[in-house]
Amino acid sequence: MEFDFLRRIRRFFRRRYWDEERARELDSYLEMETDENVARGMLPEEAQYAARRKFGNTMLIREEIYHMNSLGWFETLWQDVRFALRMFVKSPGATAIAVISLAIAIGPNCALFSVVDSLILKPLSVRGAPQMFSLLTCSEKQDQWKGLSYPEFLDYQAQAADIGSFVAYERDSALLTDPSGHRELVPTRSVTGNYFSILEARAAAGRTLGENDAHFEGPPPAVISYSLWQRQFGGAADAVGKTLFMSGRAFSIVGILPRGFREPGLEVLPPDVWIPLSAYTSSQRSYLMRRDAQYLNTLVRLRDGVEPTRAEAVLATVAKRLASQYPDTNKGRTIVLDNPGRGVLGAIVLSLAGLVLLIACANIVGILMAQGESRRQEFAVRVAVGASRGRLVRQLIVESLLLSFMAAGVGLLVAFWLIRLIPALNPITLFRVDFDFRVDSRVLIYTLAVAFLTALAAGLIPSLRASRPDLVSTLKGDAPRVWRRFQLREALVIGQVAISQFLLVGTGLLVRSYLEVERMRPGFDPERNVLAAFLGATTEGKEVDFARLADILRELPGVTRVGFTDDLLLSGSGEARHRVMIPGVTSEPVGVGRRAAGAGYFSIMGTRLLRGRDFDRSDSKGTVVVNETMARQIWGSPDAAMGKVFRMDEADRRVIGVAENGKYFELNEDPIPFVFAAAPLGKGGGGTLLIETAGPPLALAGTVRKAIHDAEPDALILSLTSLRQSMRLSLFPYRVGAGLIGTIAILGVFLSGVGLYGLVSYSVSRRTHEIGVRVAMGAERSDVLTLVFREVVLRLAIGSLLGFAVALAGAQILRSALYGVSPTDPIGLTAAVAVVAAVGLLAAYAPARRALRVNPVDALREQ
Amino acid sequence: MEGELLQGTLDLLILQTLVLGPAHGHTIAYVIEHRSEDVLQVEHGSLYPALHRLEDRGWIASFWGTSENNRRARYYRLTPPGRKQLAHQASRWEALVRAINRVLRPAEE
Repeated sequence: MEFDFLRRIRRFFRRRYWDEERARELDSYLEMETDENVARGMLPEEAQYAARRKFGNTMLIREEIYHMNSLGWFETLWQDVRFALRMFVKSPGATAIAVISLAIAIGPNCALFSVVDSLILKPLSVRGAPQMFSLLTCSEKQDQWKGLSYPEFLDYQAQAADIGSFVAYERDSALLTDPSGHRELVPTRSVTGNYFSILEARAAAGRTLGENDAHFEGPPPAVISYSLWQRQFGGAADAVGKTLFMSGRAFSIVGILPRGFREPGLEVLPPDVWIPLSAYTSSQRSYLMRRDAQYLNTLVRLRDGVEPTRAEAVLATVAKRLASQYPDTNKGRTIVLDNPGRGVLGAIVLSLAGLVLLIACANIVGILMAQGESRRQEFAVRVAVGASRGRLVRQLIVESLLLSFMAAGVGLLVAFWLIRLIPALNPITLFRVDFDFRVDSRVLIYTLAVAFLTALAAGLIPSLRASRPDLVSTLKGDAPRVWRRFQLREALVIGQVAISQFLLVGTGLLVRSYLEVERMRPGFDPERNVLAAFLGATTEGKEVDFARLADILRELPGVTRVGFTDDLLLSGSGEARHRVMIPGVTSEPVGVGRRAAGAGYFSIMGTRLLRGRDFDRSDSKGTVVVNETMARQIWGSPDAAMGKVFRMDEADRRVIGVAENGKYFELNEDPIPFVFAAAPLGKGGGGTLLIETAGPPLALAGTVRKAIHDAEPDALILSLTSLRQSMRLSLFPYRVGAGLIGTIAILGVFLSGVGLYGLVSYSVSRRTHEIGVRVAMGAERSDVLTLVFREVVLRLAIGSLLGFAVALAGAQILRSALYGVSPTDPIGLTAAVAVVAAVGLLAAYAPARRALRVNPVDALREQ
Repeated sequence: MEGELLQGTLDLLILQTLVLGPAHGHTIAYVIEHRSEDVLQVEHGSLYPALHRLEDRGWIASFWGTSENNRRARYYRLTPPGRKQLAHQASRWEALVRAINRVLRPAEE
């Protein structure tokens, strides 16, 4: 075959030679035949005629041979390309418009692909991803999905070793301080020793973490991301071996991961720092060893040949064993394999992004269809002079291919520019996010594929139609009955509007939900000027003297009061329940949340007390304040709760006050009974000082840090944040959700606007004549406007209604992600409809103005 | 098949004709017609493209020579690959003929 092709090429270049050669040969036969005829007795002239008659048309023979030597399809293709290029050169303006409008469609499409690729597709293509599953456990009531506790992880690792290897890690975040004192919050991972070997990740520099890192001397080891390496060390080669200050602790950098390393699973925020689980502080470690602290993310990499169903069966037996062994924590708990990143969120984001890609493709089809329509006359001429339909179709496809590849080039530039804008679109301010969106070879391939497919699809539909023109009427120059002609294009635009409406309804609900969450009162006042210093002892067994520290901090200029709690609410630490026995009221113990609180806690935090009083220095450990939920649940009313005594943590507690309800562990939790236990300031292994300031709290952070460090060298500052900052961290998931879907929806609406603009301006240009006639007949400006906008409004209304109906049906899915907003929230829905209407009318504005400027004389003369 | 030759068949006949020695196109057509007792008529319109094709495939080679009556003529001769091709095509042809005969006259077998 290859040989054959080479021969054809060789023949192709020698066809002139062969043509002459065969012509001479044929001539020689003619002469021979003539000779023979003469020999038979004919007259010379007669003999020549007879010979020619016998040979027939020698030109035909030569032509056939010439054809055999040509490359056929390729040659005519080259003709098509040359013809197309000539067409482009002849009308550079129209070509530029086509290329640019295609580029506008392709560019955002590619930018979006880059986002989807780095958020979803790349994590799915982690090596070995098909065998990688995350483990989720489910409570007896089937209503709460959780991770695993460390003891459980060890149990599964030991008892289900034959299905595969287990990895556990904690998703966390930490405040990173660079040498210049700049702080940023970065996502981190505390990982088991086999994390990197199971994920088959190698370090780009230095090493990754291994089993040996369970034991270390000096600062614990840390591996950093490529992005952090660039940000914090400018990519310096000597970063390995340097020290990283994170949440007040020093870590030694042992390695840097390669660019683009991803954990399997959908992760909006790629982590920046990895540390071994063994680097936990002592208090963290004691929490880690608790069987009820089920917060670790667990991955299992199944051995080759182990089916997920078999693996689940093995895991189920282990779960059953654990349930009988540890009924307190494991009774009724089941375990399942979950596809990381192939879960609901990934599917939602991917399909939403896919919808926007559809909108973009519809634009491209629309543009090319409009072009096809406007060249009907040319095609009619070509068909009339004998062009075959296939040839015409190919000509059009060649043209659209050339156009879309040129557009792909420009589109890539647009994409490049858009990608740099995306982080700005995303309303994330707290985390320094490096999404690593870029135009790489994958985006390039995708762009070319999109260009190719859209050219095919977009070239085929109009060309099939255009190549079957009504010859006579088109040649006569009749204006085509445009209004009937672009139903397909109309359908595309209506579809675009519908998809945008659908996306916007989702966005509207999520944004409303975010605003609602932000407005929500979490049981304290996050706007108060309070700096929370979470302190721990440097080494196990040592204690921090909180009373002395409080005295010192209180003397600092700008500090008004200093309070205490063991752990800030909503700080992200897992939900823990304490058993409470209430004599004479309940026979079963009640699970309640609990925090220790020092004197003045409620006024510093801005928590309202419904009954009773704030803690003061005279309060001992036996005095508590309960929240409204607990008061009502157990004693019936806040009044009834006052002065009651109950048992908690093996001590009697007396209620001296009732606080307003709040959010304690998660923003979207249901009301939880909660106890604030008075905690006289003293010494302890860990706790949080609440430093109330006169001005902006973060301005005092440096002074506070230094004062603590000078006074208590044995105290580690694990975190130092303002209430507001800590609150923002809790808001983060809502923000990301609204931001991500919002970004997608904004792109979608923008692209639909472009599509609608294209349709309306096309229809106006086709109706120039009609408008001219109307104006000549005395139509007013308002009549012309009505003419244009009637069509727009109709399409907007149909599309909007369609999208709205689908969105309403789909909004139920969002219910769990919404806070304080119903899926049929009128404000969110109205806003979504308003945006689509506004964008649609805006898109129609420019063409409408053009319609108004139509000069009847020109328009009529044109015909 | 009367008059019209299948493309592959014409190739086979040309190759067979050239076994006897080099010949120009005119002779080739004459030989084929003569040996088939004028049953097979070779159209010039298909002979020359066929010659061109066979030469292109390297089964025959051509050179300018002088004809019987002192005219310049293009002569064709069989090449070694052409000889191999002839044997191959001839055996395939015979197999085909036998097969067709078996179908047409099953009783005689």
